[in-house]
Amino acid sequence: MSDTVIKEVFLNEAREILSNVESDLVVFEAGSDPEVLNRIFRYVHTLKGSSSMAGYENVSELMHDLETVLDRLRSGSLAVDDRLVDILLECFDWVKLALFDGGSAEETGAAQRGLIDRMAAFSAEKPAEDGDAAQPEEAKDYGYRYFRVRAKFRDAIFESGIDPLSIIEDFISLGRVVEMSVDDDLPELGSLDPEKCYLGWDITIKAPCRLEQAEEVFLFVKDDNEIVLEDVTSRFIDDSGGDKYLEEKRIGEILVRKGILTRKELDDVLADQELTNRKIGDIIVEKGYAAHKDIQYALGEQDRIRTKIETGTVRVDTRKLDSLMNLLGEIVIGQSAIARVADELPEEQGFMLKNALYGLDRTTREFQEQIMAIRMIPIGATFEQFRRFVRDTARDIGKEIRLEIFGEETELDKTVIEKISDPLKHMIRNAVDHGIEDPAERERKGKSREGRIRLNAYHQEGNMFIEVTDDGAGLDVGKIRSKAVSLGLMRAGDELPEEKLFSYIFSPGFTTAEEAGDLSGRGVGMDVVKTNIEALRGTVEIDSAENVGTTFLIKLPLTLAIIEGMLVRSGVNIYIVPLLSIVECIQPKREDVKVVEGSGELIRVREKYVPLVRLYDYFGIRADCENPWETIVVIVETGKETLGIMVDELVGQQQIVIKSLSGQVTRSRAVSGAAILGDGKVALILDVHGLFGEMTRTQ
Amino acid sequence: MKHIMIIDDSPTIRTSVEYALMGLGYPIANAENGSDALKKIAAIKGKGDDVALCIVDVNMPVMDGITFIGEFRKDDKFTPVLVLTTESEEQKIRAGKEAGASGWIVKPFSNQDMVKVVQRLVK
Repeated sequence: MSDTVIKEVFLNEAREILSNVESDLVVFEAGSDPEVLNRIFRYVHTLKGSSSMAGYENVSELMHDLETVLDRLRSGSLAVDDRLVDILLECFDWVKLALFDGGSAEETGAAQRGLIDRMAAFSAEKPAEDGDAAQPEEAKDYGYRYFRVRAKFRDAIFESGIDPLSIIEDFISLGRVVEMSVDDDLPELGSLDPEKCYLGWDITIKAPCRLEQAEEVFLFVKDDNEIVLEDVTSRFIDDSGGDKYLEEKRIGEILVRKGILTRKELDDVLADQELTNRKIGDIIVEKGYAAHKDIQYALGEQDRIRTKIETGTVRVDTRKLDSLMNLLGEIVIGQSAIARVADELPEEQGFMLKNALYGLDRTTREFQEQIMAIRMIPIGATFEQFRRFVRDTARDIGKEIRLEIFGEETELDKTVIEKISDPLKHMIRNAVDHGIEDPAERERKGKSREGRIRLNAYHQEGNMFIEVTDDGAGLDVGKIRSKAVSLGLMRAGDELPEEKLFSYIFSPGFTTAEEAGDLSGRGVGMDVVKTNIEALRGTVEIDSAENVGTTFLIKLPLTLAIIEGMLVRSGVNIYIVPLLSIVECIQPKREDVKVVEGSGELIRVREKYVPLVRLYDYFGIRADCENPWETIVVIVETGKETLGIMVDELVGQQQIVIKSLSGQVTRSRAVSGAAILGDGKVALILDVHGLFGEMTRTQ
Repeated sequence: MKHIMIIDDSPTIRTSVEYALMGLGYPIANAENGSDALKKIAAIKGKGDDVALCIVDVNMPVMDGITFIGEFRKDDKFTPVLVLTTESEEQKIRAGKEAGASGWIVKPFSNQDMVKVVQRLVK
């Protein structure tokens, strides 16, 4: 995009320059005014720079030649005559042709060569010495070389806005630092001038480049600073190509650190080593500085150091990982397209193709796991940040609370971790504010003065669980009940299970605190917590007992991008049910289906009645069959809710790449996204939890 | 807020530099020549803001880049100045350096190169 903008700006600029330069040339021909010549030169120069920037290489080339001619005119080594002015004018005509009049590449190319020849003929006496002939050798593979630089910058270097450190960093970035020492020739603090540079560096790097490239780094500073750059490869590499000197030196350093060798002895040994190129260990033993087993020990140490150095890390932009994940998603889609083709092939071929696909499928899964593993970071850091938060908020309201953290090494997708932090904070704040009692009250109850909040994270069944537990008063069932009644969520006489009551605290506007506390209790928070967690396709459950405490259990998927899905068909439509929420698939008997006043249709599953959702009914489509006992019911579970989804057929199971739907497409909470199937059709992904919510709301 | 000042008589170059640096988050000020730039820098400093970096062309009408650097350095010793040149101007690079420039970049430059050089100078 920026390219077209720059081109446009350039064409406007060129148009202006061309019209100016023409008149200037005519004026110049009339009476060689040096000021006019300077102006023409500047126009040409500007055009040269900006055309190359805008991608008009041919214009830039011609301007370069023109510049050379004009430069000679300025210095007086060429005289002006009308022939030259003709050439110059033609040059600009050519530019016009190339830029505006759509001259073909051939036409302009030929014309350009003609002009260049004429210019060359005009300044024939000038040999073409500048550059063209001596092109530098193209990047030949030089392997690794060692460069040592000793750099002492002049003390006033900062005054030209140059940061010596950035030059040093540039140098280092060419390769890997082998040795480095900083010569800190600092004066007494009192006489230290912060605007002066006192440091000098002595660095050796191992880099895959030529000496010239290393020299380039110092080009701007080498004239007026003490910079000595040398290629010291021969010191480091022996015939076998290993880092001999370095290795040997490292052993020596370890021996010195261990107190086996003195620094002076090491210098002595190293000097000897450099001359004879023998193993340092042999020299040490020979000179009687250390025993053989001490050297063995140092060698073991060295191996450990080396492995430590070699398991390096790479910092990668998370967007790259995202796009990798997306691409993998496309592969998964492509795979299912092939699988469909396999279905339609003659049996034997189909079988072979499917077999091959099976292997591929395994690889993609592994691939997916690996990418996910890259995105995973431990949740520890997120947990740790709450220590301070708990301490400060508890102290503010006169409570004594200790935060305990478990499972900090548990890893979770980075995006999920970022988004879970706020909900966690809300929950912890609630625990501090409402959960844990005052120290005095706790003592009355026979508890320790100090309350405890525990954060725990663990993996289970392809999900991540986070528990936020406090040992406080527990949720007040009575208060929740009366509040729920006043908000019209239930009737006064209803007997509801505790979980159901607890789940009311996630309703918008719900708070049981009589007076809003400083921290929480304004009725904002828990519903937001729930929404946020559900946006991550997670669930949150509450378990609470009076005076024992409350536990919030958050369940999160490990990744947001791909799920295992069961494809089900209802009428002509395919829907996807996340495999993780499926308990079983059954064909109910006729007598197992009941209609209960106020609860809608129920089916009996293993001595338990669960609500039945007729998928076709919910989506307003036509199904093959409307009698539950003639269809298949998929029993799904989310948290403590169980639901039967009535479908016509189970199509199959596959990896599903989730594509999110924007709000315009559907506001239904029962749909969490969509997926592209192998045949290119789109299928909606059911959100079991949301579906349950929608069902209970409509009844 | 520190500004990056682009001084070049060619709008193409100014736009190119601006595009290259857009992602860095610095407000960008433009000037067509050295004296224009000095005025604009004075105005920026007058508002209590500052200049993080000047990127200056050498050949410009009214006041060229070398003269500009000399003038600029009279009361600002430490702000980096990056000289925009073409390859043929080695003597200009030297002149710029003597006047107090901090680095140079050759036209045409790639966006990445420009960003790299600028990041090094303004960090």
